[in-house]
Amino acid sequence: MGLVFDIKHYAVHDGPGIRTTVFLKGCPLDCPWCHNPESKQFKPELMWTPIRCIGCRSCVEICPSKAIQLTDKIHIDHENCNLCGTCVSNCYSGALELVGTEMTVSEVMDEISKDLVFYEESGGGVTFSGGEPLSQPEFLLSLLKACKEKGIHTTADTSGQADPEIVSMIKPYVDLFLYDLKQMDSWTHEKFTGVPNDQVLGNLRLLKGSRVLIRVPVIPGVNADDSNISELGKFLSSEGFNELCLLPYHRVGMEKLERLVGKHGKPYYTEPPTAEVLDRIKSILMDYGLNVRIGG
Amino acid sequence: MIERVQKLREESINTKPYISTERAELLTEFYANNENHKFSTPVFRAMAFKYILLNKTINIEPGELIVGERGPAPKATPTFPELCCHTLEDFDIIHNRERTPFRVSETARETHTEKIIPYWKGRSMRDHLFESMTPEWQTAFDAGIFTEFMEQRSPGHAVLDDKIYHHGFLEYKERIAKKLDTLDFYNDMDAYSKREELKAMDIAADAFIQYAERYADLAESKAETETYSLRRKELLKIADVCRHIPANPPRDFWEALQMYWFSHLGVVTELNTWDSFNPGRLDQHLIEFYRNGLHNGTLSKDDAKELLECFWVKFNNQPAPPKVAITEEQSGTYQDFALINVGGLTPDGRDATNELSYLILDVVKEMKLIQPSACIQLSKKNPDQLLGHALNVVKEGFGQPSLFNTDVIMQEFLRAGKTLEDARAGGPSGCVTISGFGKESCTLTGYMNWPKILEITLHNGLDPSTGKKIGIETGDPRNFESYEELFDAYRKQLQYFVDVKVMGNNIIERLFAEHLPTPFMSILVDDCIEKARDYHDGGPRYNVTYIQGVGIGTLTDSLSAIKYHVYDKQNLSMGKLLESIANDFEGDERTRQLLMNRTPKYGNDDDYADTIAQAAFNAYFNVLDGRPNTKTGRYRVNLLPTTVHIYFGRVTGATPDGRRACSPLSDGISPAHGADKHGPTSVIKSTSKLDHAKTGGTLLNQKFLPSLLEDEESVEKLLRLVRTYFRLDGHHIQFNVVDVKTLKDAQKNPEKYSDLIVRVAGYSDYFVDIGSELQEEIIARTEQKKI
Repeated sequence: MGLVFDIKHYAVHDGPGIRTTVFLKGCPLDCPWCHNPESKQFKPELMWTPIRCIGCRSCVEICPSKAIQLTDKIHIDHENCNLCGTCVSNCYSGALELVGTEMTVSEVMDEISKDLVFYEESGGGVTFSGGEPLSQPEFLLSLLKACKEKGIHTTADTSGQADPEIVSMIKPYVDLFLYDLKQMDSWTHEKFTGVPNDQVLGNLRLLKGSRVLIRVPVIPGVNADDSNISELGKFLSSEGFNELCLLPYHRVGMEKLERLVGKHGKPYYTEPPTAEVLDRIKSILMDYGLNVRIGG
Repeated sequence: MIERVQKLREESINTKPYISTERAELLTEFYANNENHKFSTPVFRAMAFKYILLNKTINIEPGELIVGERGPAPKATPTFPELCCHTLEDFDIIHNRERTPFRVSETARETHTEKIIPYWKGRSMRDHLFESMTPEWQTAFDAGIFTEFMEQRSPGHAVLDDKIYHHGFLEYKERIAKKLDTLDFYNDMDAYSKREELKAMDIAADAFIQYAERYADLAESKAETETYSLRRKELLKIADVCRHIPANPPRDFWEALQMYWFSHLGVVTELNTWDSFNPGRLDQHLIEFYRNGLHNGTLSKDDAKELLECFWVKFNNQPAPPKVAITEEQSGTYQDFALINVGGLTPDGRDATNELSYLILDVVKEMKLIQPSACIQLSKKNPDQLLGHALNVVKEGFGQPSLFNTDVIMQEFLRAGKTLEDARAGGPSGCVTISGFGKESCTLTGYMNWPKILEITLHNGLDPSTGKKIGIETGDPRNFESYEELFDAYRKQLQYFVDVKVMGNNIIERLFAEHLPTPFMSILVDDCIEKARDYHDGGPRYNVTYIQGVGIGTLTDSLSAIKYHVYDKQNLSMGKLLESIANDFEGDERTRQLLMNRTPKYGNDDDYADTIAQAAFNAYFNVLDGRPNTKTGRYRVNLLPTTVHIYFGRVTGATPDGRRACSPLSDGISPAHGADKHGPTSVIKSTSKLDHAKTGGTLLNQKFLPSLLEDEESVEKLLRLVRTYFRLDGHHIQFNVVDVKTLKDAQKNPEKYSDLIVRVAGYSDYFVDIGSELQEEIIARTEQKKI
């Protein structure tokens, strides 16, 4: 069993061809700019979308723990809420959702297998993303093996923050790694994400020989400065990884954060990087002989 | 775009359509002057055709290379009072309506009041038709169970094959004469009617040749006074072209286009055929002329493009004539559904893609006109390059070209009895329905409102909007013990209404065969000359009749809701459900949300709903497919709505899928708005569970933002999506690139657009899910792209 918070079909920016992306819930990093803030915690969470709410108050009435209050917003008494989901199953409008479902390997495989014909026709496959998919190693390994048995191309979208043994364990079953590198300076890395970057950089070295596409979220004020970019270029070219793509920061996660019911860290607000900034970063990295693309 | 084309295009776009009474006047004059004639009906119709062609105003616009208009000038739109006669109220409405108006001048009103209406009142086909229908038919028609195409226009949907590029009308006259010689008045009891039909064809052929000669004369006289030498040369060339064709087969690319265009005008002047007329496989028809021209130095690629673009403008100059008896709010369209095909297979089964396929797509992209429409036919033999090229045109955002699957079209044709060669030479005509080009009378007779039939079933034969009994009694659904009982009742109700409609069709087909034959069109469609029978009377090699099924998404989701909640989960009683829909969910939003959001729905690759869709399809197929029509052919099934899902929605009360009364039904075989929540692969899986090979056409609409097609990789993935749909035997798919207006509407009504995917930044998401700030940004971005 594993905790899954979404399965997206026709995911076309997560690797080659037409793909299905399986999002595993829970992440050891706590990046304040995360565009999937609902992916962070290792347990299900309630999410409330006000525009869908019809104000019928079923949730308030039906909650066995009397933990819900509804005014113009929803208030959950977290001490008493045990995430039983009764409110969600009675919220017909879908305003209340439980993000995160326990699924078995075969349940996930059933969903993935629906689109086999598309993978075959397009050279696509399945992408495991998150959260951090390597944080549910046994579940991930079983899924990867099951995909390989069906001849499905596999991609792992990872932050690299995991036990090196796990990386070695899954490596033979992954056709492509989408590998995030956020910040070359370990202090700054820890300041923003909560962990230093040594494991991230170390694990990347383990992937020599695998197909790896480095992905760098470009976040002004965090990692878009010339010195970080130069360090990044230097590191990648010396380690022999030359495929890289830049993902400009976006605010979509901030909006989702407001819909999440519960406690979360402060979001990181900034302006998205301008085209000039992106071009400059691109040209610095290209000087290191890297193949750089902007966007997924 | 070169200056000439730019000018013609702008003129075509900027000239507002208006009513021309010329054809109606000439026709009325001819009929009134020959009140006591002794001619047979086909001969009389051919004489009327001749009278119009020889007396109508003809013109050559400045700069034109391809000549001829349906009316006296571009956008001057004739009426056809022998089919249906506009009232002055009709004129007021079409003149004043905001969308798709037709200006009606004072003179036109006067002429109509004094000459046209008095003569045709009670005499038009429309009057005839309604008088001939049973009360059951009329009641169902009034309630919006079905529509009737032939109350407004004549059977059409005809597409030409390659014959006019190889044979001139003098040769057709010879064939007609030969056939006349072989008539056997001793043994063939139809010899008289055959003789009259052949005589009529001969008169029509003469009229047509003389009509072209009028253009040759006009071009010559214009050349005499033309001071600009290059234009004088062009006018003399036009004269030469019109003197040679259509009497003789075309000698070059220019003559080939003019040959088609005159044929087009002949057909749409003779009668107002449904879905005007169209050249079909244009890239194949023209390729030899194109290659020869390049080879002998008489034509360059640019010349060919220019001529094609002039040809394109011609279609756009002819708006579909406005309907009669319309209301203010009923939508109209100028679109007359001439669908030019590129790609597909040659008659001997090879990849038919050629240089012109690409040139034509470039023309489509550059011209950006609503008419003519274009589509590509894609078989597994056609290269990805063709589809890629087509998707690059789709990106422009005006819905063209639509994409068709030749491999399943072949199955459809062969199942319906066509030869392999005729099947390969055919394709989609008009909207999505296939026809055997140059050899078939393919008549679409009206739409069938499936969700309304379910509504009647749920009310035991009554129409809740009027309280009138319009169906049969199939039992009070509150007493049904199982879903199967309900579905069985629906099937009986469906059978009843299909019977009523077919019975009406069987009369209407005969009305056209006997009162409004089309000798000119009959020359152009095999085997009318050989059989000596009219196009409307079984003359063509193939004769198929369709009644188009509408609303499979809405019907499936409604049945699924009943099965799931009333019978499986038992969390809603039939009584409560009926009460809730009777009140249009007023005061019971929670039930509506349950039905909308907690029901397995079509479009999500969910077998619970998709097997219901299959059953709904099979139910329709079983009551209709294979029934005989009066033209020696058979009925077939197709699933498309054009825009009728709006009208059908308006006459249908709230449905058990949570749809409110009067809102639109699902269109084509697309899922209901907002029902599909798992993206395009799931839609494709669901829709391909229907057996497309058993239809004559299905329509699938998909919405996309231009940004989803902005880089090559995204285009490639979309291309693979299309290939997969076709591998699963899907018939047709088209991409509506979404505009700003739609996005704004989606902000206000998110429940209708939960399927709308947008590219955010390096990834895509559902538009309704991304929050208002980002929505605004995407709207701004889309707005910018347009500029």
